[in-house]
Amino acid sequence: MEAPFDFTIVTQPEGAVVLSLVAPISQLTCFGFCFVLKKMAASKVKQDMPPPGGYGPVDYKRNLPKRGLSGYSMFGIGVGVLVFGYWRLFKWNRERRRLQIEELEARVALMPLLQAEHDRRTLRMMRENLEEEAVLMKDVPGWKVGENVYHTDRWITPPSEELFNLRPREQLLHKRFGFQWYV
Amino acid sequence: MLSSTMPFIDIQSRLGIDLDRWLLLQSGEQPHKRAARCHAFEKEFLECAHGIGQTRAKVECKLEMEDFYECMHRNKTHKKLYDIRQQRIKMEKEKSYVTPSHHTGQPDNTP
Repeated sequence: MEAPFDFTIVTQPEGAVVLSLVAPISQLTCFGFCFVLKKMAASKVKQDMPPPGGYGPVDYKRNLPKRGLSGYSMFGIGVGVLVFGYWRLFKWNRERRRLQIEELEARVALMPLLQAEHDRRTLRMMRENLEEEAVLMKDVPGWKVGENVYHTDRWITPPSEELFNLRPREQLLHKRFGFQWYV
Repeated sequence: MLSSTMPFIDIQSRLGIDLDRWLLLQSGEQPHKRAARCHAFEKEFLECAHGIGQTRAKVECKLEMEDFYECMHRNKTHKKLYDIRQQRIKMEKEKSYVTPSHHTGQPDNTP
Protein backbone atom coordinates (compact mmCIF):
# COMPACT_ATOMS: atom_id res chain seq x y z
CA MET A 1 0.00 0.00 0.00
CA GLU A 2 3.00 2.17 0.23
CA ALA A 3 4.03 1.33 -3.25
CA PRO A 4 3.07 4.57 -4.97
CA PHE A 5 4.87 6.57 -2.30
CA ASP A 6 8.13 4.65 -2.35
CA PHE A 7 10.80 7.16 -3.19
CA THR A 8 14.03 5.97 -1.51
CA ILE A 9 16.40 8.48 0.03
CA VAL A 10 19.24 7.08 -2.02
CA THR A 11 17.71 8.18 -5.22
CA GLN A 12 18.62 7.78 -8.77
CA PRO A 13 19.99 10.92 -10.27
CA GLU A 14 16.92 11.32 -12.41
CA GLY A 15 14.81 11.10 -9.28
CA ALA A 16 16.82 13.88 -7.61
CA VAL A 17 16.54 16.03 -10.70
CA VAL A 18 12.82 15.41 -10.85
CA LEU A 19 12.41 16.24 -7.18
CA SER A 20 14.47 19.40 -7.48
CA LEU A 21 12.38 20.45 -10.42
CA VAL A 22 9.17 19.45 -8.80
CA ALA A 23 9.95 20.91 -5.33
CA PRO A 24 9.06 24.63 -6.03
CA ILE A 25 5.78 23.62 -7.61
CA SER A 26 5.00 20.87 -5.19
CA GLN A 27 2.06 22.66 -3.71
CA LEU A 28 0.60 23.19 -7.13
CA THR A 29 1.08 19.60 -8.43
CA CYS A 30 -0.93 16.48 -7.74
CA PHE A 31 -1.64 14.95 -4.42
CA GLY A 32 0.89 12.14 -4.72
CA PHE A 33 4.00 14.28 -4.80
CA CYS A 34 2.93 16.48 -1.83
CA PHE A 35 2.35 13.42 0.19
CA VAL A 36 5.83 12.08 -0.67
CA LEU A 37 7.63 15.27 0.31
CA LYS A 38 5.82 15.30 3.59
CA LYS A 39 6.81 11.70 4.26
CA MET A 40 10.47 12.38 3.39
CA ALA A 41 10.62 14.99 6.03
CA ALA A 42 9.18 12.67 8.65
CA SER A 43 11.39 9.52 7.69
CA LYS A 44 8.95 7.13 9.19
CA VAL A 45 8.98 4.88 6.03
CA LYS A 46 9.83 1.31 6.67
CA GLN A 47 12.93 0.72 4.69
CA ASP A 48 15.32 -2.14 4.41
CA MET A 49 18.24 -0.76 6.38
CA PRO A 50 21.42 -2.46 7.63
CA PRO A 51 21.38 -3.58 11.20
CA PRO A 52 22.55 -1.04 13.79
CA GLY A 53 26.32 -1.10 14.09
CA GLY A 54 26.70 -2.17 10.52
CA TYR A 55 27.22 -5.61 9.23
CA GLY A 56 29.78 -7.99 10.59
CA PRO A 57 33.13 -8.57 8.87
CA VAL A 58 32.88 -10.12 5.38
CA ASP A 59 35.03 -13.07 4.67
CA TYR A 60 36.67 -12.20 1.36
CA LYS A 61 40.10 -13.80 1.64
CA ARG A 62 40.93 -16.99 -0.32
CA ASN A 63 40.03 -20.21 1.47
CA LEU A 64 41.84 -23.21 0.00
CA PRO A 65 42.27 -25.60 2.88
CA LYS A 66 44.76 -28.42 2.66
CA ARG A 67 42.83 -31.60 2.97
CA GLY A 68 42.80 -35.22 1.86
CA LEU A 69 45.72 -37.48 1.16
CA SER A 70 48.89 -36.27 -0.40
CA GLY A 71 49.72 -37.08 -3.99
CA TYR A 72 52.33 -39.66 -3.10
CA SER A 73 50.01 -41.59 -0.85
CA MET A 74 47.22 -41.58 -3.45
CA PHE A 75 49.69 -42.88 -6.00
CA GLY A 76 50.79 -45.49 -3.53
CA ILE A 77 47.22 -46.56 -2.89
CA GLY A 78 46.61 -46.86 -6.63
CA VAL A 79 49.72 -48.91 -7.17
CA GLY A 80 48.81 -51.04 -4.18
CA VAL A 81 45.36 -51.77 -5.56
CA LEU A 82 46.90 -52.69 -8.91
CA VAL A 83 49.41 -55.03 -7.35
CA PHE A 84 46.74 -56.68 -5.27
CA GLY A 85 44.63 -57.14 -8.40
CA TYR A 86 47.51 -58.67 -10.30
CA TRP A 87 48.31 -61.08 -7.52
CA ARG A 88 44.71 -62.27 -7.36
CA LEU A 89 44.55 -62.59 -11.14
CA PHE A 90 47.71 -64.66 -11.37
CA LYS A 91 46.56 -66.94 -8.61
CA TRP A 92 43.26 -67.56 -10.33
CA ASN A 93 44.99 -68.09 -13.70
CA ARG A 94 47.14 -70.79 -12.18
CA GLU A 95 44.02 -72.42 -10.81
CA ARG A 96 42.37 -72.21 -14.22
CA ARG A 97 45.40 -73.78 -15.83
CA ARG A 98 45.11 -76.70 -13.43
CA LEU A 99 41.45 -77.09 -14.27
CA GLN A 100 42.24 -76.95 -17.99
CA ILE A 101 44.85 -79.66 -17.61
CA GLU A 102 42.27 -81.78 -15.83
CA GLU A 103 39.85 -81.31 -18.71
CA LEU A 104 42.52 -82.27 -21.24
CA GLU A 105 43.36 -85.38 -19.26
CA ALA A 106 39.71 -86.36 -19.28
CA ARG A 107 39.68 -85.91 -23.06
CA VAL A 108 42.79 -88.06 -23.37
CA ALA A 109 41.15 -90.77 -21.30
CA LEU A 110 38.03 -90.74 -23.48
CA MET A 111 39.91 -90.50 -26.78
CA PRO A 112 39.47 -94.12 -27.92
CA LEU A 113 35.72 -93.90 -27.44
CA LEU A 114 35.42 -90.61 -29.29
CA GLN A 115 37.69 -91.72 -32.10
CA ALA A 116 35.77 -94.97 -32.54
CA GLU A 117 32.47 -93.11 -32.67
CA HIS A 118 33.81 -90.68 -35.25
CA ASP A 119 35.24 -93.49 -37.38
CA ARG A 120 31.98 -95.44 -37.29
CA ARG A 121 30.11 -92.34 -38.38
CA THR A 122 32.52 -91.69 -41.24
CA LEU A 123 32.29 -95.26 -42.47
CA ARG A 124 28.52 -95.24 -42.25
CA MET A 125 28.28 -92.06 -44.31
CA MET A 126 30.66 -93.44 -46.89
CA ARG A 127 28.60 -96.62 -47.14
CA GLU A 128 25.40 -94.65 -47.63
CA ASN A 129 27.04 -92.52 -50.30
CA LEU A 130 28.27 -95.60 -52.10
CA GLU A 131 24.81 -97.14 -52.18
CA GLU A 132 23.25 -93.93 -53.40
CA GLU A 133 25.88 -93.64 -56.07
CA ALA A 134 25.07 -97.15 -57.23
CA VAL A 135 21.38 -96.25 -57.46
CA LEU A 136 21.91 -92.92 -59.18
CA MET A 137 24.58 -93.74 -61.71
CA LYS A 138 23.01 -96.96 -62.95
CA ASP A 139 22.26 -95.59 -66.38
CA VAL A 140 25.29 -93.37 -66.82
CA PRO A 141 27.58 -94.95 -69.42
CA GLY A 142 31.15 -95.67 -68.40
CA TRP A 143 30.72 -95.09 -64.69
CA LYS A 144 32.33 -97.44 -62.25
CA VAL A 145 30.60 -97.26 -58.89
CA GLY A 146 32.90 -96.66 -55.96
CA GLU A 147 35.82 -95.96 -58.20
CA ASN A 148 38.85 -94.67 -56.37
CA VAL A 149 40.24 -91.45 -57.83
CA TYR A 150 43.70 -92.31 -56.55
CA HIS A 151 46.04 -94.93 -57.98
CA THR A 152 46.97 -96.23 -54.56
CA ASP A 153 45.12 -98.45 -52.09
CA ARG A 154 46.04 -96.50 -49.01
CA TRP A 155 43.28 -95.29 -46.74
CA ILE A 156 42.65 -91.63 -47.57
CA THR A 157 40.52 -89.73 -45.10
CA PRO A 158 37.49 -88.53 -47.04
CA PRO A 159 37.03 -84.77 -47.13
CA SER A 160 33.84 -83.28 -45.68
CA GLU A 161 32.55 -82.43 -49.15
CA GLU A 162 32.59 -86.08 -50.07
CA LEU A 163 30.88 -87.24 -46.89
CA PHE A 164 28.15 -84.62 -47.04
CA ASN A 165 27.76 -84.62 -50.80
CA LEU A 166 24.18 -85.82 -51.00
CA ARG A 167 23.00 -84.09 -47.86
CA PRO A 168 21.58 -80.58 -47.54
CA ARG A 169 24.19 -77.88 -47.71
CA GLU A 170 23.52 -76.65 -44.17
CA GLN A 171 24.96 -79.85 -42.77
CA LEU A 172 28.21 -79.35 -44.61
CA LEU A 173 28.42 -75.74 -43.51
CA HIS A 174 27.70 -76.74 -39.95
CA LYS A 175 30.46 -79.30 -40.10
CA ARG A 176 32.91 -76.82 -41.51
CA PHE A 177 32.01 -73.66 -39.61
CA GLY A 178 29.73 -74.72 -36.75
CA PHE A 179 32.43 -74.67 -34.08
CA GLN A 180 34.46 -71.52 -34.26
CA TRP A 181 36.58 -69.95 -31.61
CA TYR A 182 36.66 -66.56 -33.23
CA VAL A 183 33.82 -64.84 -35.00
CA MET B 1 68.23 -67.04 -52.03
CA LEU B 2 64.89 -68.55 -52.99
CA SER B 3 66.05 -72.05 -53.66
CA SER B 4 64.49 -74.66 -55.90
CA THR B 5 64.31 -78.36 -55.13
CA MET B 6 67.38 -79.08 -57.27
CA PRO B 7 69.57 -76.01 -56.97
CA PHE B 8 72.69 -75.46 -58.97
CA ILE B 9 74.68 -73.51 -56.39
CA ASP B 10 73.18 -74.47 -53.06
CA ILE B 11 74.01 -71.28 -51.17
CA GLN B 12 71.96 -72.16 -48.11
CA SER B 13 73.61 -75.50 -47.49
CA ARG B 14 77.05 -74.00 -48.16
CA LEU B 15 76.45 -71.27 -45.61
CA GLY B 16 74.56 -73.57 -43.25
CA ILE B 17 71.55 -71.31 -42.96
CA ASP B 18 67.86 -71.96 -43.46
CA LEU B 19 66.19 -68.94 -44.98
CA ASP B 20 63.29 -70.52 -46.84
CA ARG B 21 63.95 -74.24 -46.90
CA TRP B 22 61.69 -74.68 -43.93
CA LEU B 23 58.66 -73.78 -46.03
CA LEU B 24 59.43 -75.62 -49.23
CA LEU B 25 58.54 -79.16 -48.27
CA GLN B 26 55.25 -80.38 -46.80
CA SER B 27 57.03 -83.49 -45.59
CA GLY B 28 59.68 -81.51 -43.75
CA GLU B 29 59.63 -80.67 -40.08
CA GLN B 30 56.37 -78.91 -39.20
CA PRO B 31 55.63 -76.79 -36.14
CA HIS B 32 53.98 -78.69 -33.26
CA LYS B 33 54.76 -81.91 -35.15
CA ARG B 34 51.47 -81.75 -37.06
CA ALA B 35 51.66 -83.69 -40.31
CA ALA B 36 50.44 -82.12 -43.53
CA ARG B 37 47.37 -83.47 -45.21
CA CYS B 38 49.28 -84.84 -48.20
CA HIS B 39 52.40 -85.87 -46.31
CA ALA B 40 52.24 -89.49 -47.48
CA PHE B 41 51.68 -88.60 -51.11
CA GLU B 42 54.52 -86.15 -51.13
CA LYS B 43 56.85 -88.64 -49.50
CA GLU B 44 55.94 -91.28 -52.09
CA PHE B 45 56.49 -88.89 -54.94
CA LEU B 46 59.83 -87.66 -53.64
CA GLU B 47 61.08 -91.16 -52.94
CA CYS B 48 60.20 -92.03 -56.53
CA ALA B 49 61.52 -88.87 -58.15
CA HIS B 50 64.67 -88.21 -56.18
CA GLY B 51 67.92 -87.94 -58.07
CA ILE B 52 66.67 -88.96 -61.50
CA GLY B 53 66.09 -85.50 -62.99
CA GLN B 54 62.91 -83.72 -63.93
CA THR B 55 62.46 -85.17 -67.43
CA ARG B 56 62.72 -88.74 -66.24
CA ALA B 57 60.60 -88.03 -63.16
CA LYS B 58 57.72 -86.77 -65.25
CA VAL B 59 57.63 -90.07 -67.10
CA GLU B 60 58.45 -92.59 -64.40
CA CYS B 61 56.65 -91.08 -61.44
CA LYS B 62 53.46 -90.08 -63.25
CA LEU B 63 51.13 -92.01 -60.95
CA GLU B 64 52.62 -90.66 -57.74
CA MET B 65 52.59 -87.13 -59.11
CA GLU B 66 48.93 -87.42 -60.11
CA ASP B 67 48.00 -88.74 -56.70
CA PHE B 68 49.88 -85.93 -55.03
CA TYR B 69 48.14 -83.29 -57.11
CA GLU B 70 44.79 -84.95 -56.54
CA CYS B 71 45.36 -84.91 -52.80
CA MET B 72 46.28 -81.24 -52.84
CA HIS B 73 43.60 -79.91 -55.18
CA ARG B 74 40.98 -82.70 -55.15
CA ASN B 75 39.98 -81.90 -58.68
CA LYS B 76 38.91 -85.41 -59.62
CA THR B 77 37.06 -85.87 -56.34
CA HIS B 78 35.11 -82.66 -56.80
CA LYS B 79 34.30 -83.44 -60.40
CA LYS B 80 33.00 -86.86 -59.40
CA LEU B 81 30.85 -85.41 -56.63
CA TYR B 82 29.52 -82.75 -59.00
CA ASP B 83 28.56 -85.36 -61.57
CA ILE B 84 26.71 -87.38 -58.97
CA ARG B 85 24.83 -84.28 -57.80
CA GLN B 86 23.88 -83.26 -61.32
CA GLN B 87 22.66 -86.77 -62.05
CA ARG B 88 20.54 -86.69 -58.93
CA ILE B 89 18.98 -83.37 -59.94
CA LYS B 90 18.28 -84.75 -63.41
CA MET B 91 16.66 -87.88 -62.05
CA GLU B 92 14.58 -85.92 -59.57
CA LYS B 93 13.27 -83.78 -62.42
CA GLU B 94 12.29 -86.95 -64.25
CA LYS B 95 10.67 -88.17 -61.03
CA SER B 96 12.59 -91.41 -61.12
CA TYR B 97 14.43 -90.88 -57.85
CA VAL B 98 13.47 -89.89 -54.33
CA THR B 99 16.11 -88.88 -51.79
CA PRO B 100 16.19 -91.38 -48.97
CA SER B 101 15.38 -90.18 -45.47
CA HIS B 102 18.96 -90.14 -44.25
CA HIS B 103 19.88 -87.63 -46.94
CA THR B 104 17.16 -85.14 -46.15
CA GLY B 105 17.71 -82.67 -43.36
CA GLN B 106 16.22 -84.70 -40.54
CA PRO B 107 18.52 -84.98 -37.54
CA ASP B 108 19.91 -88.42 -36.94
CA ASN B 109 20.68 -89.20 -33.31
CA THR B 110 21.58 -92.86 -33.63
CA PRO B 111 25.12 -93.65 -32.43
